[in-house]
Amino acid sequence: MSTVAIIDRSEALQQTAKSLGLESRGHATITRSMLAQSLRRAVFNAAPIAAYALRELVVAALKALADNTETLKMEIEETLRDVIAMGDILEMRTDFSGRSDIVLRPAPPAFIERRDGTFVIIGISGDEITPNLETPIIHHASGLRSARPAHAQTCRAELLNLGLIEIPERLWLHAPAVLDAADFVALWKARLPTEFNSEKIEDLEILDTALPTSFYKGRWVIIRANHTGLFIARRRQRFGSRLWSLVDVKDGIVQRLTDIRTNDSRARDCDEAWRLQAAMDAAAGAPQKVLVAENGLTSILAFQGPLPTWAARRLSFIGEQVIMPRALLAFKISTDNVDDELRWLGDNLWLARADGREVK
Amino acid sequence: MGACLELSDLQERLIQQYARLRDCRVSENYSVYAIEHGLTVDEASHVQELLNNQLASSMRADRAHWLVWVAAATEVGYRYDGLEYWDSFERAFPKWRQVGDRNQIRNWFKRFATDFNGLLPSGPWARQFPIIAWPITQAILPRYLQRHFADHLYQLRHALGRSTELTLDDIGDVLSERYIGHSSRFVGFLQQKALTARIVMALGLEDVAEVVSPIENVTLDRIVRDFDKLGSSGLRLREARRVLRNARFINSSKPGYIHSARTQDRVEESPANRTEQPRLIARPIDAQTWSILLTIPDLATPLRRAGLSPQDFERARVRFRPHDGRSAWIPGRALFSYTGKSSEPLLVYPITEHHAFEFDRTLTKAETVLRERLTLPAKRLRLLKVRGDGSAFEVIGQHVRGNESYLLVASYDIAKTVVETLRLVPLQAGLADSSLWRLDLHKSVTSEQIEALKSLGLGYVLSVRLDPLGLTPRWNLANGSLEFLDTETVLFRLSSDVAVGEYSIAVDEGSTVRFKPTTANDTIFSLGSMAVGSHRIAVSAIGVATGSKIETEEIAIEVRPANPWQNAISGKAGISVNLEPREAPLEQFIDGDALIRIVAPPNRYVKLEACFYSADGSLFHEEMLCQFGTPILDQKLSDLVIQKLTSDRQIEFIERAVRIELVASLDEFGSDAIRFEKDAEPLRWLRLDETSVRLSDDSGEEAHPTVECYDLNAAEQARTVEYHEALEEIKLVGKGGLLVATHNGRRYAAVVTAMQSQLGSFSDLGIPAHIATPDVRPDKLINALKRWRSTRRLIGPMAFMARRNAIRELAQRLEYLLCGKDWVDAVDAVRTGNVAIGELYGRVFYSRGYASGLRAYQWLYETEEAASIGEFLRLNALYKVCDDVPLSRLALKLAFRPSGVSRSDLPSKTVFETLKTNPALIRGAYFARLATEVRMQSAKSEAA
Repeated sequence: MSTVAIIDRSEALQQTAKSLGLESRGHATITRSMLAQSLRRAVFNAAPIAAYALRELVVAALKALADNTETLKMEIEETLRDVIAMGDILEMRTDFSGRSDIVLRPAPPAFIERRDGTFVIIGISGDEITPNLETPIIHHASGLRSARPAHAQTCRAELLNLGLIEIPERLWLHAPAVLDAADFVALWKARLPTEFNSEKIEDLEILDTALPTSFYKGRWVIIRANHTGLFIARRRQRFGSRLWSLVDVKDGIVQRLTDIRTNDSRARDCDEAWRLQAAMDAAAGAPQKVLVAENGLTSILAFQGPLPTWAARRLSFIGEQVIMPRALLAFKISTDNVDDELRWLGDNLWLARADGREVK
Repeated sequence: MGACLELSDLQERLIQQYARLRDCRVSENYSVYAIEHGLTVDEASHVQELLNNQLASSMRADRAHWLVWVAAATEVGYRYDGLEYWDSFERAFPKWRQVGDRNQIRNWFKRFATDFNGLLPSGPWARQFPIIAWPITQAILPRYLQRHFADHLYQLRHALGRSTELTLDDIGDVLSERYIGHSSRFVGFLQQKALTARIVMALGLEDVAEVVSPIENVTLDRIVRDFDKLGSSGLRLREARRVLRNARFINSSKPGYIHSARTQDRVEESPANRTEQPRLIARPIDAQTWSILLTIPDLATPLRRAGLSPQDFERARVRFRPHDGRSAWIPGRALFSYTGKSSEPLLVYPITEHHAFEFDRTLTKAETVLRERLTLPAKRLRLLKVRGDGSAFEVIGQHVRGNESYLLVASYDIAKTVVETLRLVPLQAGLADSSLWRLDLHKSVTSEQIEALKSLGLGYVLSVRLDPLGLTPRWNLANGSLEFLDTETVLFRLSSDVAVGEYSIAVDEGSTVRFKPTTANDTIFSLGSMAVGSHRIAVSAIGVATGSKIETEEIAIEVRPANPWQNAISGKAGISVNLEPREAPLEQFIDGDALIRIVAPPNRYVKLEACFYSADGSLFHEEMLCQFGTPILDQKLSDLVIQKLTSDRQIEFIERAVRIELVASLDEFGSDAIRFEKDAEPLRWLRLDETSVRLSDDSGEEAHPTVECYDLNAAEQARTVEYHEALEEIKLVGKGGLLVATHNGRRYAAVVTAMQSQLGSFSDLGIPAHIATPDVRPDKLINALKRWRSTRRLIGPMAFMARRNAIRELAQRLEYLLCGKDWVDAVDAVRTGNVAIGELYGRVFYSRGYASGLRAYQWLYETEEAASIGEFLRLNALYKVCDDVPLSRLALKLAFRPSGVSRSDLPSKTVFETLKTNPALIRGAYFARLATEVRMQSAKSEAA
């Protein structure tokens, strides 16, 4: 026989967290991991469902437990974007009566084995939301779920046996292929038109590779007569945000120009431009730097330039974004992961440690 | 000798033990298991010591004590963790590595099976591990399978607990048929149904009343004790056991059973006995359009309760169909598939009483049971409440409440004044003889609106509101109740249209709980985790102003256990299609340097189509490429798609298209796509006729491009063609070749093949490439490779094959030049399967460990170049093959990506000669590539 208990908001939050498979303690307010679990549960029950309808469902269930409904809506919006990026929820195109719509569906349960022996769990395992494993699931502040088993191979066998799909880390991150910095620059250089058309473009801003990489904003300058070489540029257009371009400049005059666009609808132009700038810096012998502050079990990786979304996503998934003075972006991560992440940043964005130490 | 004597005693004791079990079980044909040796923990430990002493003294496993070895090997099998059996075995018997023989152990197990009716290992797992399958099978339920068993039991706990009076056979069937994992070993174990059923009974603390048991009690106790030592699976098992203790099993597999005392004492729970009827539900297609469906209640349960089975319908040859007069007849047994989760389309509004199904024959008993459940009573207007998930469900009472949204389905025209007063919004539903309206009520409703509602036959009530809180609502399709899992906490938020002095809540038949609102209009209450089954919550309140009772709000709740997700997701999960690497161009994919990867739920059919778009963005051609079941290997799928895309039929479309999309569709679940973009180029190659092409130059430049041909007959030799001649016509030599126009440092190339109108002989089917220069230099081959490999455009039949053959021929000649003829012949023998790869170890380097090390590593040169080079350098240093880092890097690159070798990779002009002086290095690099090919080939064969 069920008993009726009148409870307060804080108790309701804890009971909700428990129902969602989270530790009931530590949820004095609505956390990101709670929202992520709630979205996962809701999309499984209601799929196919439009993104706005899913947000409304979760808002309706949680608004009485939130301090501010508008803030809650914003957080749900951001969390939904993250769980889609993590691969828990899929955006599917449906054609109905000749009209194409995007609906959300749960992704089948899958896992990613990381080099450090941890496993990232993605997808939605029906009513369970997250598959029951021998190893406890860690719910990160970002909403990401992972497992850190004592024996990686036993855990992998368990995951495969349960029916989870194994996904390579690179595919999951949606990161581009690993290339030498010089090769990547050459790839883009080849995309410049063959003919040279000298043109003076007013108000063209370029990222000056000659300026120190430690102050990103300060590297943006209006093109001048002393500029010669390849530069990332931004130019105005009549409507919309400024366009990202690669320009070949001689004495301040643009000789050749190509817009920086990606073929992948899931990637942003600025991500490609930032990656190209990192390659140009590395190829010029002045790679962009990562500041590493180790502090016992956790460390902070700080960046003075912007990171492409796929790189920031990886760091925010395994750690937590924090604010650091004089850093454009900073992430607090487990010290165990530092070498792995630095190696990955070195391979993909040609970044080097600011203290000059070798990455192990 | 003392040790031998003891072992002899043990041998004799085991013979007697196993023979006794065999003789006892012969009448039931139950197998004997080696784990039933009857030794205590101390005795088993003593056995291990004796066997180790015996191994050390006689340097062999003595066949006189074969049964002791069988028991000892089975003990290791029982502790097997699913990874390495022999490691554990050698830890228990350290001398075994030197003097033991695995086949001997297998032979002894075979003898055990013959002599004592031991269970034979079977299934794919046993075929893959033909030796260790014996000790592990004989261990009955090794520890690593105990976790599977615990999890499986946890998933089935309610199915086992709720099913009425399962026999032992039934339990075994349920366990076997409802496993959805992927362990073939566990599937094999579940086939031993008599055994698994006993373990379940033992876990539920039931004593089985039987004369012949398929398992010794002492062994069963040991397994049950070990279950309790499991980690998180142990927790799940404890929960499963809690449910099993209340289960009502029939502790015999034969009729005429006797309930155990505890099950007899169990109080039978009275199930909720509500009669459900079909109802309308509506789902939005868009803001204006809804689809209307008729939900069908659970039919299977009442039919079964009435003692009917699918066979009764078969015997009576009863068929049914939806009551539209058009659908095909369905066999009556299919009624048992209606479990309250189904709905049928409704095309016409039922003005009179509507029967969901019509039957071609009468089965009186069934008709009585189903009559009410299949009848939709006549109504001129139906009221559907819009729920949180956006769908709408028919409410039986004709009352509306403030601050809610409804749909009205009317069989008549609603008066214009009513439409205006209630601000009804017309909607589309495609339901003949009806109109559909949306009604959004504000919190406060005017007296005019109340009158308008009355004219529609609808009442307006002030009431308390009961909103699910914390968890988004999960609705039962058939009866509109809220669904929760037995692991979820049921929370509600209470509010009221008017000020409330006191709330009262009643759950099921329990006593009413009364309390004052905690805040002005916001009270939260929890029902905790509720028991599996149907529940009803009734909330009423006393209004402050009037002191009278406010309209009661009732909510039906269904609590159920979690469904196994492996089944559930296939009806829900979507699909994603990815390219790896992410932005690989089409040509890279066609070259096999990129893969398509589909992530989809298992056991679904995916359709893959290619859509070709022209420069103006219009779709000019669609082509179905393939349909396949999931899961599918990336390589297999990619090969399939490449084969289709490079067929002559598609080459023309690829040539014309500026954008190509590969769209993967999962039926009604939707689709996902990857996109290949192609740039428009100023220089293009165009076919003139079957055997000639020309260059089209839109660059408008004064400087002319240079033009070269590499004929298939001389794939390494460039033949210069005059620019003006190229603009006019280039006659293809032989079966075609590679045409390259170079302008401002950029190349515009195409592989073009001649079209053959008639085939003269079988040789015409092939499109081979040849090297014309006998003493060709490696750098020349590399340059030609670069040209052929970087060429993306394909024109003409089998142009893809022509390009591939030219690349192969050039790469093979390079390997021949660097490694020698004997090496190439040996590699060919491995590729054709005539020689095992291990036989090449000695050809690589005199120290076979070098090639063995190369073979052990998974070379992913394309994606993990740095790691591959690191491993190659490590092995070269370890075996003192080479300490020259640039030379080692070059060797590996020549083997894996020869077309990527550039001048900066060549430390000197004589580097190729230097490489030839170190055959271990260059052969090592090529061996690494060969090992990768063989591994991939083996993976493909397994998948096939």
